[in-house]
Amino acid sequence: MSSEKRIIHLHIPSELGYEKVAMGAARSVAQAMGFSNDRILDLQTAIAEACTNAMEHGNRLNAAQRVEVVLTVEENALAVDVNDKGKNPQFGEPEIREHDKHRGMGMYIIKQLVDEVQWSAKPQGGQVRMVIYLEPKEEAGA
Amino acid sequence: MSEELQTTVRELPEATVIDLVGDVTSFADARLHTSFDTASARGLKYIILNFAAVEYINSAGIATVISILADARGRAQQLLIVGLNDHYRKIFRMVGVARYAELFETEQQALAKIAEPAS
Repeated sequence: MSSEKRIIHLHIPSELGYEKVAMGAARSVAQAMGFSNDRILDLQTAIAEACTNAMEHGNRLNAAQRVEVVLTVEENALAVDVNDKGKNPQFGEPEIREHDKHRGMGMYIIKQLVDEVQWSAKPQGGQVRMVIYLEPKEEAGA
Repeated sequence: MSEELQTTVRELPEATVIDLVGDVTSFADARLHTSFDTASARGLKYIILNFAAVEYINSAGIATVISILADARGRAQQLLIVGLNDHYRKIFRMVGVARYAELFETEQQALAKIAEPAS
């Protein structure tokens, strides 16, 4: 795969289980870019958590509403945007309530597994942007 | 799309084993709790949760495992976790599950630990 920027768009139903489609696509792209298997597994888990969060809390499991996953191939990194249609007026990292602690765990897992993550709320819905580098940041800078 | 979890409760002299096959996600919650209750009712101290045939676990599934861990402690029973691959062992350690349940690569290693004389 050339280093030229390439973008892959996926639209998956807000139905638990379909996050596996995004996980499979990310694996294919990351493999072609030369990511190690450990990094690919980290990326897949982070994408799964972001997608299920978007399905459950953004789109309220309304199967007619799609979660958009955008994979952007950069020279030394793969950026992944997960977009939902949730109308959440809050900006930044979502607040975790007592009844859905596993959501907080999912966000914690994402933070641990990718190199950069940013949550944002836009008029058209919520977005998580994750970036994973071919070489983990601390190793690349060592 | 999600592979429904199947469970089998297996009785050994020293422990009760719950074999898991499929995905451990929010869909697995009821089945996991039911299987744990069945295993727990046997009354042995050790219950082994065997993930060797599980390929996908998410945070909702881990939350269920944590809930079962709490149930086991409340009944003075001990949960041992076996068969996780390297990636999910890392995740279980990351979220703190390993502080409350020992993780073993294989069932044999868990049984060897149970057989050790108490120090």
